[in-house]
Amino acid sequence: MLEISGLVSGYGRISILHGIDLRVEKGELVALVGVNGAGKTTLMKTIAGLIRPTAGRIAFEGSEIAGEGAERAVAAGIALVPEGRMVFPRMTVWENLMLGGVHPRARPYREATLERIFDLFPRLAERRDQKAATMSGGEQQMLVIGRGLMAQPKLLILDEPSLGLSPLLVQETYGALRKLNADGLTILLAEQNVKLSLAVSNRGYVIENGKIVLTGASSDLARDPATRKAYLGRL
Amino acid sequence: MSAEVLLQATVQGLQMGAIYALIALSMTLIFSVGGLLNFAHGDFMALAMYGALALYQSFALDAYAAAPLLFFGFFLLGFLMFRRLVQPVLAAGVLAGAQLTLGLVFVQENFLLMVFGGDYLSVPTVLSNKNLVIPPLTMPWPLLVGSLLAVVLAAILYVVLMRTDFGRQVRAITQNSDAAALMGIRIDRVQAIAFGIGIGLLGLTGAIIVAQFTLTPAMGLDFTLIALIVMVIGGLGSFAGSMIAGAIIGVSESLGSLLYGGTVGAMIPYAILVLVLLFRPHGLMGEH
Ligand SMILES: Nc1ncnc2c1ncn2[C@@H]1O[C@H](COP(=O)(O)OP(=O)(O)O)[C@@H](O)[C@H]1O
Ligand SMILES: [Mg+2]
Repeated sequence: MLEISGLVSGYGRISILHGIDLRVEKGELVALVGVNGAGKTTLMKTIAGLIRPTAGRIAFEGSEIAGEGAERAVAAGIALVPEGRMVFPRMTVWENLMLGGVHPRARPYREATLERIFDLFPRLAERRDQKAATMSGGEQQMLVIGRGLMAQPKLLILDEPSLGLSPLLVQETYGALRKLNADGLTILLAEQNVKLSLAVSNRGYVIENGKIVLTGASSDLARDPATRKAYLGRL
Repeated sequence: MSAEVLLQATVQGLQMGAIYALIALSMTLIFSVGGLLNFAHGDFMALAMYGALALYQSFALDAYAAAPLLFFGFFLLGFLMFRRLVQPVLAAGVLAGAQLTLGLVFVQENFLLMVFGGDYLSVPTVLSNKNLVIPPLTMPWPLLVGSLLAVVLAAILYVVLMRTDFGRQVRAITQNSDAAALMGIRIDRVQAIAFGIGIGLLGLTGAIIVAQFTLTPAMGLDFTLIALIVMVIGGLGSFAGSMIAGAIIGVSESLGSLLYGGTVGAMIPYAILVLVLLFRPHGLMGEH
């Protein structure tokens, strides 16, 4: 579904990603793990069209989308749930969700998708008319996942959804992701939380200084001495 | 001084206030799109008033009939101006944007001076010099109709911005443009349309109040200053705040000039501005 090859990307003249190869098949839940500053966010933003890569290819369902902008990515069926959540603070939960489905591709299905999201996160239904800024971090995380789903994505990308959440809320968030994946949604998940993300995913990639250094089945990666040494050392 | 005279001045002040509020709201809309403080705001309205004059002189078109035409003409002007002028200049910073609009003040005023001359002019309309008399009040029809239309237009603008997909997209871009991009919103296009609506509203406002005013090429500045004051007093981005601030400024200006003469009356809005800023730096109904 998503096929990235030789991707070079960064900010201005500074390259952060140095030739990334990464693949996500339909129906998979793939984890991208790496320490802070490894380049996960840069990669997610480049896929979502917020950053124009300087070299390489991003093919989504066979068509090239690299450097075509965020609108093109949404139109193709990619939704990014960004790091730091980025809610629209002075708008209500309902307004935030409506904006998630404002693209012409998603607009006709908004009411039905809204029902599904309220089923998945009943808390959002309760807080429907509350301003996003007044909600807790966990609720905001549910909101931005819901907002991403409103776009009717074929591929949902999440950048550090567990950041700053209590363990209980992390469990809840990951439970929702597992459920969405079981219902057929393809998911790419960037995380520093190696243990957790490798536990829910089918396959994983380890990124280090803008390069993929390891890849394989998540269960193998979790057992791999190299991963353990670098990322799970404290566990 | 009789109660009737005071009542008369209060009503007139409220009517002016509605018009001030509408001008301030279009200024807020333009400001919310990319942060341009439009010092040429009143001059666009002056341009529209002269446009109404030209349409009357050339085609005997009444200003009220010309209003939709001026709206679309100015919408187009605003849309293109945003794409070709404002956006590239804003990329260089907000100060460059302010400089651009200051430049537009001179361009427009001199353009009007060249084409229409410096004399005071007026535009005859179906309502000109007619009054509605409801004792003890005597209300000029142009001001009455202008203020009612201003309230209606402000309400429409409110609904468009707060209750439609388009309005939500405009607000989303203001609140977090990166997140807005992630929603697949075409930021440039939405901004250009919003800017066009802001300028288009000035075309419309000029047409519906032209019968109340005497035209002179430099008349725009007064409106710009009043709009700035109303926008700041009301609290940036607050509709209710702008309406209330418009009423306060309109009434105080009108009562002030009645009681203390025109010079003092014209200073009162500034005094109120200073007081409000001292006690409520974010305006009467401002957020943050
Ligand atoms: N806007 C930016 N401009 C310049 N450098 C940046 C910017 N954002 C991130 N970086 C740099 O890019 C590198 C990778 O950052 P990032 O992609 O955010 O990593 P991660 O998401 O894995 O923590 C870091 O060295 C960081 O300092
Ligand atoms: Mg990151």
